[in-house]
Amino acid sequence: MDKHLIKLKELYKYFNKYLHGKEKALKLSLLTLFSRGHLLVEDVPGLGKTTLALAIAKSMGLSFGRIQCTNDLLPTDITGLSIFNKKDNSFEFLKGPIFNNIVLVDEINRATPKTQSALLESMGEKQVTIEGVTYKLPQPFFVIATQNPAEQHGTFPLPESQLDRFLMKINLGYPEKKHELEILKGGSSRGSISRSQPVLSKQELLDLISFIKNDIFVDDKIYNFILDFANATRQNENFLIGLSTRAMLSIITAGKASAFMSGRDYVIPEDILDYMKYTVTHRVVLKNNIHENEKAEIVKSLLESVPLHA
Amino acid sequence: MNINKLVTLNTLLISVVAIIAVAGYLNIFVTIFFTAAIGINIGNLKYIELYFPRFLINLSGIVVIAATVLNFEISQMNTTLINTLVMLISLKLLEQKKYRDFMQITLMAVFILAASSLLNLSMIFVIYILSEVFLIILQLILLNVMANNSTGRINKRYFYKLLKPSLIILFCSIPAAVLLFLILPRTDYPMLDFLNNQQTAETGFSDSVRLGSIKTIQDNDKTAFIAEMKKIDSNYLYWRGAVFDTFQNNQWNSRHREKDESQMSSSNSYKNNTNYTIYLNPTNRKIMYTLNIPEKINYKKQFNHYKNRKEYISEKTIKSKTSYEGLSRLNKSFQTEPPDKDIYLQLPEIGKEIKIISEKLRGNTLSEAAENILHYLTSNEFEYTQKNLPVSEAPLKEFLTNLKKGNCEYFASAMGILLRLNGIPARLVGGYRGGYYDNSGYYTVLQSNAHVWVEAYIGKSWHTFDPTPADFEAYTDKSRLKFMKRYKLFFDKMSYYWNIFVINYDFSKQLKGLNKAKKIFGDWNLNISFLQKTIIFVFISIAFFTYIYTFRKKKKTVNQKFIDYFDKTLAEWSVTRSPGEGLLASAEKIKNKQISEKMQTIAKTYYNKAYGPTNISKQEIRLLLKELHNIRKKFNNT
Repeated sequence: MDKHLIKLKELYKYFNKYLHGKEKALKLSLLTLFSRGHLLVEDVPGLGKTTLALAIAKSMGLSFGRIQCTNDLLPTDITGLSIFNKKDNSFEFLKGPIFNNIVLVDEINRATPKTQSALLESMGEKQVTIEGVTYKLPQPFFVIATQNPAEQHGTFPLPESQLDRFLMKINLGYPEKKHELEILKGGSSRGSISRSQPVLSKQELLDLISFIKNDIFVDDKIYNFILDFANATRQNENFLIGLSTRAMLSIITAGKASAFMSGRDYVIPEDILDYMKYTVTHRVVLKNNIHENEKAEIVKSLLESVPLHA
Repeated sequence: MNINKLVTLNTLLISVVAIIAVAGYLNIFVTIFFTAAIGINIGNLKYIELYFPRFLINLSGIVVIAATVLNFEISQMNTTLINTLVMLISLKLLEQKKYRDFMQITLMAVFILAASSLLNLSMIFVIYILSEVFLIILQLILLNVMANNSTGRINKRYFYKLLKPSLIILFCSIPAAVLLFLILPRTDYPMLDFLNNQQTAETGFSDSVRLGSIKTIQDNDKTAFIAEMKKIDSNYLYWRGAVFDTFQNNQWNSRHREKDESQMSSSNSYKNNTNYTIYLNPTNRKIMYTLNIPEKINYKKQFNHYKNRKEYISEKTIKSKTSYEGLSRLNKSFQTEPPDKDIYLQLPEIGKEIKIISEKLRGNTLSEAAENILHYLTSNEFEYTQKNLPVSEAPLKEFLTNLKKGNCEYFASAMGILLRLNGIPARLVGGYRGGYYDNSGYYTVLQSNAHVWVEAYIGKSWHTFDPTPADFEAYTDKSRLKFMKRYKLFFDKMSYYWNIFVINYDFSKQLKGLNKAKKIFGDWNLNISFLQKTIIFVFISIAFFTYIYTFRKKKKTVNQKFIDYFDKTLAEWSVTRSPGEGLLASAEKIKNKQISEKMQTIAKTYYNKAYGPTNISKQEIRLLLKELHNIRKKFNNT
């Protein structure tokens, strides 16, 4: 535990140096990474998502790939394709951008459903199958996808069932004035990030992730609370679809990661409750007559009504 | 439990114990009002919130006191005052109670209990006073706790801690009480008994036998007396009281008692002699009861013995519990000088019909005639009843010729008249028949055992005849009594022991009682049947499992207790936590930084214990509760 916590401290030191005003986004990203999940960011462009993803990749010595989605993007543009090699007289597989540890998928809702599903499938399976050959994706594998809420024209919104594959859906918002001023004065830190040295090796990160998975204690009370909550969403009259079992698993994993990041080896209710709005809201489907804007409120009030297990 | 609720509960107990002690003297409306007040209070403990405004209570109190003053009668002073006190206590219970109100109620309960001792002093009073003293000591301790912290909660352990001194004080006071008991004079006579004479007016026995005026006789369950003696053949259980010699205007009276010699007869030793001691309850009469046929009695006070009538008459009216020893011969006849024929053959005007009946029953000898009369009355033709008695101008004629139903008074009167018509000197004897034997060695004779029978002078002696065909088994067999009567007998037993151990203090009897108790207990142990064993076993197991179940439930809720208290503390800093909100997050919402930090620390510690891999112990929760308590205290001070 202590060993891993020291690593975490070093990571924070690194981020403090290169990233400003992104504490919340950074925390949620790390949490998702540590939980072996994926992150969906719904925000306008130009708020530093790329810098964040790059910093995370660089700090841990991970490879970084980026996919800019358009409506003519093909699945093979993501996964890669086999090209005939005249020299060897055989097909050679060229890996696509998905074969990176950290993949930034920009404006995922601009891609066609076919491409989206290819991406999302690889996210879920952590492997890609092309022409009968299965290629394992590198470990760790972390996708940060973005959606632009402002431009709806010519987009293909992700189906709710696909959204379930993202551990969290977050909304960054604009940085604070103070931090924005710093960014304006200092310019983009992307250059210095590219030149920086990692503070954590890939193996150390994998160790850390497996530690979180296996060695953080979750009391029965927490499990029971999550079950109660899931049941509440399934029985609530406002919801068409409640929480899935996979959703519950994700919530617990996120809780474990949160416990670790707070320096605890056990999960407390706050580990679960604080992230519910990121983990739950995009997984439940409202009935038709209720407006999407009310979703967060409904989830919140439901959450407050389910009592904790003492 | 909240201290306030605990005090309220204890106050209710105190009032209920005091009121039970005087329950017999309460007006029905007062009883209903008090019951309602208790009901509302119990409701207030849990379900409702119903308090009456103070001015209304005070106004009602004034009205009650005014009513008391208006209805005041010196002869019923005690009962009136008790009723007033109970009314006031009920009113007091109805308002929102503070420290002084609890004290006032407690004080009034003490007054009521003290008043009850003036009305009636029996063994059960010891139970009342012991429970009341215990409750009051507890009350004082609880009130002190409440005065220091009026909103605090009391857990079980703390309560036991409070219980301990109460019990210690109670048990320390017992030796002191014993010392007083030895020093102070003992009396069974309520010190202000002249205030409630009316209670002794009711009785099953009467000074005269009157026919045709009452339609129904009510069973009177009061104890007439207790006779300490060995068990005898129930056929001889006739308790002789007064002798009635004159029948006039449908009424038998004792007119010629004074003509009899009044002297003490010398003690003769007969066979079948029985010794007994009678503990007579106050009767307001002079007649003393003896087992038929009495030879002599031993009574500390002045009394007259009428030799030929076998009557024992006290010089003074018996107004308090009295005891005397007696010696009797179990027989159905006794010799005397020939009786005055003018008296015992006296007859009022008798109708033809009765004379015809008496003609029919004439025998060759006097004793044959008497037997004929007895057979005639005890035949199936006549029926014993206490209801629908013959009511008319000539009730005896109605009884003999028409209705053929009646109680012992009709049967005895009929036989007396028929005997006299046949020239046999006859008289009626009033007293009691039967009694319920208790294995501790005494008969309890109730007022419902009152009876009248006949004596006829044949040959040289008076012969006892009982023409009443009633089922006398019912008057001797305890198992045929109704539940309430049996309950009554139980308290008579207590009363009996009170008489023996307290009034007639006698150490040898105490030892005897102890041995008897031991014996009874020993016998009891051996006599448990298999079924009883099974029932006891099932009962114990149910109790055991219930205990385990509740105990386990309690253990589960220790955490809940902490959370409840945490929420309460949060509320004092105007933060409300919804059930699904985390403790830590709620603690962060407190505006006062210092408090917020402290609360967060507590929440973290709790989380560590409750959600961490190690199991939480009660002790740790208690420590946390203490910390919370300190925070609240600090807040209250600033």
